[in-house]
Amino acid sequence: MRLCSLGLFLVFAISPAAGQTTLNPDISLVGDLRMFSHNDDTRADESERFNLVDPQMELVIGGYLNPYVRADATIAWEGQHAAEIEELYMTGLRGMPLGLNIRAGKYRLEFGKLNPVHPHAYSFIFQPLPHRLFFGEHGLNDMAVRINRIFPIGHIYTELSGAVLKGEAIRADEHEHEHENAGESEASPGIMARFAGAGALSEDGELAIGISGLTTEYDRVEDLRASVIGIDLKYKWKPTRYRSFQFEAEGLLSRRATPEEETVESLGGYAYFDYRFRQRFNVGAILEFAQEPGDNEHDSRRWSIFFGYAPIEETSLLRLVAGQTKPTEGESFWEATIQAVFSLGPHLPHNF
Amino acid sequence: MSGKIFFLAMIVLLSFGSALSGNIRAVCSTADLAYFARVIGGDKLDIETIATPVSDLHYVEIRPSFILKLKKADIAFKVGLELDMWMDKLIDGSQNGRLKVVDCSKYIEPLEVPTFKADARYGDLHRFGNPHYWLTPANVEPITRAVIEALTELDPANESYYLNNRRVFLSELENGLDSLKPSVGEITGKEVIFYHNSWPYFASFGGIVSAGFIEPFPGIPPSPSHLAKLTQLIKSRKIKAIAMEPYFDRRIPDKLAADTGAKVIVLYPSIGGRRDGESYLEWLKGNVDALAEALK
Repeated sequence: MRLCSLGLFLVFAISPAAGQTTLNPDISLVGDLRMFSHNDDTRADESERFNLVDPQMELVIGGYLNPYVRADATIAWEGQHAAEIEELYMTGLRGMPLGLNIRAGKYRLEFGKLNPVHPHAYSFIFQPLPHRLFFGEHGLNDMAVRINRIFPIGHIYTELSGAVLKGEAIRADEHEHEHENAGESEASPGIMARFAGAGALSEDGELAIGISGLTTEYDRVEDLRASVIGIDLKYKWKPTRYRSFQFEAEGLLSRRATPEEETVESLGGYAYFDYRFRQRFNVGAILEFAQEPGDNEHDSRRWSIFFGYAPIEETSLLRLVAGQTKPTEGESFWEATIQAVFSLGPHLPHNF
Repeated sequence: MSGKIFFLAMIVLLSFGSALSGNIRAVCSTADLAYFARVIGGDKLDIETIATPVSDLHYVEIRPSFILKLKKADIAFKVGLELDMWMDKLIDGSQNGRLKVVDCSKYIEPLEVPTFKADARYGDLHRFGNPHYWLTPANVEPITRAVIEALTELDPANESYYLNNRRVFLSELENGLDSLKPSVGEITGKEVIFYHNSWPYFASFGGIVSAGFIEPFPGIPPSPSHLAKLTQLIKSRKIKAIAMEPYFDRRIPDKLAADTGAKVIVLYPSIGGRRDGESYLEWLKGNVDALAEALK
C-alpha cells in the first residue's frame, strides 16, 4: 500500500514539476430549481399542494495540471445545507505506465453507465431506486484509486477498470448498526472492478454493455461484508442532430451479511427509454425496482414518465416528471416535479 | 490447450492487425481533413474519420467506437478554433500517449475574431474566430502545410513522396480554379441569406454578400420577430437565395421561401456531402453552381 501511495505521488506530483500553466481552469455553475406536488401521507405537510424546493447548485471546476494530468472538482450546495465536496479528483490521462488511465480522489465511480453521470444530466430527475438503496443518495461516490485500460479487439471497444475504494458509499445506506464508537469509519476499504464493451451497430447507433462488481467489509466491527454486482446495457441511436433514441437498463444484485449471521440477497434494477425530437424536446419513461439491502422482504417500485424542453439551446432545460411510487413502507403515492436546470460556463460535449 | 492458443492468437491479431500494414494510422475529425490527409498521404496513410460529411460539426456524439479509432491511431487531425471540441474529449479518452495531435488551423488567419468579450449573449460564438476556414481554396495551402509538416515529422523517410503529392494537388487545384471563374462570376456581388454563419470564407472566395442569418445568433433558433424582419429584408432587397446546411431542419427556410419567393438551396460544408468520392474542386463547383442556379 505504501509503495502504491509513493507511486501515485511520483506520478501526480513529480511529473508536473516543470511549471504551472497561466491559463484559468474551466469553471461552470449548474443551477437546479424545482417545485413538486404529491399525495404521500408520510410527508403530510407537503401533501396535495405545490411545494418549492430550496435551490441546489454545483460549481464545477476542471482543467489540466500539466500535459499528462487533469484535475476536476464539483462542489455542491443543497438548499440551506453547507457546501460539500461532491467530487475532487485527479486523472492521469497520458504518459502513464502501460498506457493506463489512473484516477485518484473522491468521485462518482464507474459502476454501471449511469452512476458516473451527475443527476442534472439525466433525462429524468431522480436517482434510480436501486442506486439510492444500494449506494446512498449520492450514488456510489467514494474516495478511490482507480486504474483503467482500453483493450481494442477488432472493432469492439473494451475496457477494464479496477479500483480500491474507501467503502463509505456502501456504509452510507446501512443505518441500522450504530456502535459505541460512532463517528469513526466502520467500513474497510473495498475493491471494485468493471469490464465494459461497446461497438457501433450502424453509422448512427451504438451499443454498450458492462458488468461491474464491488465488495467491501461495510461493518468491520462486526466483520460484515457487502457485495454488489451489476450488469448494464445502453443503446443510443442518433441519426440527426434533431432526433435520437436511447434505451438504458441496469440490473443489480446485492449480497449483504447481517448480524444474524445470514447473507441476504437483494435485487434491483431500472430501465428507461428517452426519445428526443426536434432537437429541443425529449420524452420518455422509466421503471425502477429495488429490494432493501439486507432485508429483501421490503421493496420499493416506481414508474415515471418524463418530458424535457430546452427553450433556447442546451444551457437551459425544463423537465417535468410524473409518476407513482410504492415505497418500502407505507402506501403508494403520486408525485409530479418540475425542474429548471441551467448551466453557466463552458459547453462540454457529453459522453455516450 | 490448442483452442486457448488459437483464441489468444485471434485476439492479438484482431488487436494489432491494422498495425501490420506499416502505414501511418490517421484519424481526422472531419471529412475535409480526411480528404486533405488522403491526397497528401496517399497509400502511406490508413485514414479513419469521425464526423460524416453531413454531420453538424458542432454536435458530434462522444462514442466509444470513436475513442477506439483514436486508441489505434498514430496521428489525429482536428479543425481547431473550438469547432471540434469533442475531439479533445475523444483524444483524452483514448489513453493513447503516442498520439500526435495536429491542429489544422495552425497557419490559418481566421476571420471574425471577436474584438469584444465573447460570451453567451452572442450565442455560440467562437472566441478565436470563425472556424469554417476550409471553405475557401485560399486556405488549402495553410491547411495542407500543417498536414505535411506533421506527416514528415512522423515519417521523414517519405517526405519527398508527401511533398510531391501536395505539389501536384495544389497545382491541379489552381488550374481547376481557373475553369471555375465563369461560375464564380455569376454569384459575385449577390446577396444571400444563410442559415448559420458557416460561410464567411466561402463568401470571401465567391464575393457573395451575406445579407443575414436565419439564426439570430450562432446556434440560437430564430424567434417569430426575427423571421418577420428577415421576411421584410428578403422582400425589400429582392434576395433570391436562402442557403442552408444539409443537417438543418428545412421547415423554417421553406416557410421563409414561401413567404418571399426566394429559393432554398442546400450548400454542403464538407467534401463528400453532395457525392461520395468527390474532390475538393468538385465539391466547390457543386456549391458554386447550386448558388448560381438559385441566384439566376
